[in-house]
Amino acid sequence: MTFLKHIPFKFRIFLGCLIVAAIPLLFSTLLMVRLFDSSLQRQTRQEGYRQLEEISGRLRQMLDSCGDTCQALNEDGSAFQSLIDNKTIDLKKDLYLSLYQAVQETSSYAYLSMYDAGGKLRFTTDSVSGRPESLPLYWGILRRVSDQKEMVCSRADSWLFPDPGIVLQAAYPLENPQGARTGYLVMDFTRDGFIRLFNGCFSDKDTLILLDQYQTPFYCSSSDLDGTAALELIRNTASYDASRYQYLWKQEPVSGYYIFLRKGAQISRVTLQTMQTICILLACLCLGLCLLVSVLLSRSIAQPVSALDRAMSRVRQGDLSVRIYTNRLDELGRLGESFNRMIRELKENIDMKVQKQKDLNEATLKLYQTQLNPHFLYNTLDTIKWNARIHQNPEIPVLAENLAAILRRSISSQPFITLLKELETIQNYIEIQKIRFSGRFLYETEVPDQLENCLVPKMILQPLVENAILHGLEGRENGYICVYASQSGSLLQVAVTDDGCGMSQEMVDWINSHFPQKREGHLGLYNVIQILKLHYGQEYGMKAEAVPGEGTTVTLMLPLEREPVPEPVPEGDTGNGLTLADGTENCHEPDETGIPGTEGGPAPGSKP
Amino acid sequence: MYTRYPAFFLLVSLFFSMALWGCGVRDEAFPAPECDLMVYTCQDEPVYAPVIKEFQERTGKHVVVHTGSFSDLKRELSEGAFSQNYDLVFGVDAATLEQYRDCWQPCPELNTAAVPEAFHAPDWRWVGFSALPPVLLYNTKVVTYRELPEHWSSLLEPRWAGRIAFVDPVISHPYATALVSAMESAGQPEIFAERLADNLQGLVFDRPQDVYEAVAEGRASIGVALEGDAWLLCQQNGDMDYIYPSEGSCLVPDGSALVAGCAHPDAAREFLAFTISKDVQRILVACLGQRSVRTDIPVPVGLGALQGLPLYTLDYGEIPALRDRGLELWNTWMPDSGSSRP
Repeated sequence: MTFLKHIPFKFRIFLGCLIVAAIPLLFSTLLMVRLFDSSLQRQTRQEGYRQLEEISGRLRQMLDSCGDTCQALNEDGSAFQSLIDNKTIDLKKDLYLSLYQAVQETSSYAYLSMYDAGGKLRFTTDSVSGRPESLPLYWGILRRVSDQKEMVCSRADSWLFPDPGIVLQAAYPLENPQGARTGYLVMDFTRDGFIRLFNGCFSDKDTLILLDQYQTPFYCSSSDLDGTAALELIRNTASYDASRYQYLWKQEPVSGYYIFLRKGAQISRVTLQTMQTICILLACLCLGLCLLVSVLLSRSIAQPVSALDRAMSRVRQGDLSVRIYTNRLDELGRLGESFNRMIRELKENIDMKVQKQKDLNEATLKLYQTQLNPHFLYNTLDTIKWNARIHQNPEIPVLAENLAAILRRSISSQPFITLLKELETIQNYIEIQKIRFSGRFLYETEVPDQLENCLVPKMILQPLVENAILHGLEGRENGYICVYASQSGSLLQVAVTDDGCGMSQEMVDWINSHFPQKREGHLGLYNVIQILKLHYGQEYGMKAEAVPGEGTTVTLMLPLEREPVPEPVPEGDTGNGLTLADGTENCHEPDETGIPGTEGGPAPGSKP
Repeated sequence: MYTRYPAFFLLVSLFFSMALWGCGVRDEAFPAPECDLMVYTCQDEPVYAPVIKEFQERTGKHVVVHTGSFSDLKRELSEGAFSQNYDLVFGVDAATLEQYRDCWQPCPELNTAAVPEAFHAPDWRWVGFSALPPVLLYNTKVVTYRELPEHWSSLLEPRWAGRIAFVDPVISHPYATALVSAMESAGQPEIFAERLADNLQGLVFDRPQDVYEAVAEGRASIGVALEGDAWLLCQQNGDMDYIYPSEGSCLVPDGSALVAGCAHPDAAREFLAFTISKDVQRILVACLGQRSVRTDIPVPVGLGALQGLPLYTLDYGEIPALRDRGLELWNTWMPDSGSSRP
């Protein structure tokens, strides 16, 4: 049955419709024809048995009548008188009168003859056939009746006494009142007589065969069948076409004779074949209609499903431009519309994600660009240069070291770092700015220990701290900058506050707007906002509070995410064997920058 | 669904199949005849039918009769299953009965002086039924008294070319015997056979009745017939007559035998005894015009006594060889005798 599951859907619907429509139709047609045929056969059979009873009754009545006739003649007395004295005319006349009167009932199908005790023919009502002058007493019907007192019947011996008209004989012994045998009455039943006897019992299409108790035919209603052919017909009924004929028989209980009736079908074979042909044609027509409807129905159902299947296949291959076009308003039409909508939204969703990623990449890149501000680099380097020239003091290594740390952090591939590390980066930045803006500001941090391992995008605070130094503390000699972090539920807030001149309201509004637009000159803040929103969503970002003349606080809002706890290092693994300048092992990538003051770089004091 | 409920669909299919099958009407078959005796006969129906009928009516026994030719009989005897199918052979020529004497069972209880030695086997393995000498039948309207075919050699006369009706001796043993008689009387069987074939010109029949009809209707002038049939014909048709060939004819009676190892030996013995009973022999003479094998039954009126006829007997054991030689010569000169029928 597994192979059925692999049959195409359309073909299964087609097959299902066809089977449901065609098989009951075929069965019904066959059953109807069969029922009709069997009903006809049953009726024919019943009619046949009724006819058998009628024939049997007439035969029995005829034989009984003949027996009564013979008995009456015997009791009459004139018969044996005439056998004794066959010369007296009056006696002969009286005998013939008695004979003809006696056989009135049977004269239409039997001749009556009288034989003397020696078997010699004395009188007969048969005036046509060449009757033998005597019958042997040692053979045939007279021998059989010779020791009987009742009538006996026997099939006519047509070969010994060739009279094809006589098919059956009956003999009755004649006795005188003292019981002496005086002669015999013989009744010869003719073929024509049987035809008249059974007239109306069966139709011309039927064939009646009478057989004696030894199953030898002695009468057949069809003149085309002789004894041998009749017997052949009876013996081989099983090989004949049952739709044309039915074969019925019964045996007479008294005489033992068999009555065999072959009944022709009530409806001729030609008519029946015509009916069957019409039924078959109608069945074929209905089958054709079933085929047509099955095709249309399967196509109606399977076509949209196939289209949907093909569209899904193209979607799997990445083609999101596929659409299903349908003008149907039913479930399949709605399915198609839903598919189109789903693909459209999927495409938009994917496009949006791609765009977000692009924007993020772009913002990150720009952040890096602003962070790696050439002026900063130039100023730092310039500072390094002038300090080096003038003082040759140990600040240069500090600058270089902190600059190296910042550069290392910025080019790191990790997009997120812990808040602690970010503050370290800010500290590097502050160390550099302290040298540049020596003593002009104080920097502090207030970050609870439990928030130090929270993950933040790298270099996210630097623009804020830079703004606070460059713009907030502009014109001030003693400024204060503080970076503090706090948790509010699942929200992490990292704020940079200064006590400078205060951000303009316009800027505050711009920072606090839902969708701050890009502003020239404030790309750093814009990029920070974009990074936060792109990473975490629109509900996160930046807010600013400023009091003119008193200071500004810019707060970053992002979800609180902690750094995952690293898996314990297996015993024996000492890391990659790298060692930093402070002698601690470093499992990160080895330093390859060649920055002065660091391992691998030029010695402090040497020219860059 | 069909995989989940196969039994349901199977039941539905079965129901429909039974509905279709059960709609039919079946007739009760006609009962097979009872069988108290199985008889194989090569006789014609006008001869065996009355005997069988009378036997059934007298004894109440049911007799099943199978008719066949002599060649069929020989084939069935050689196959070895004859005793399983038949109890008795009836109306088979004595030469064949003697040839296959080992297949029959002796019935000494049949011993009666009324049947002379020529008409029964010495140990009563077979017993004769009727004597059938061959004669020459002719139509008196086309054969004048001057042209009477008095000899077997008359069959070779040019005047009778194409006017002689003959039964194929391959099919009929009595006619094979007649052919032997004719050939032996001629002295040179090979020449006789060749010239006879030329004169017959293909007028060869399958049955004796065809010969009689051909002569009666004038399609043939003379024909070879069996005495009893010829006598009956003459009684019925005044234009027919017959003559005994002067060279003599071999008299081979036909008879009956009890098959050794048969299923119904008692019924077969009863029938054997019946065939040679006075009643049967009398009816044979009176109604069929055949010559009785009993000496106490007079010959039919019009038939001469056996002693006065040009008849002779041969050792029955020699006749099969003579017949085979005769048939061999016949087939040489009449190879298509089975296919050429007028």
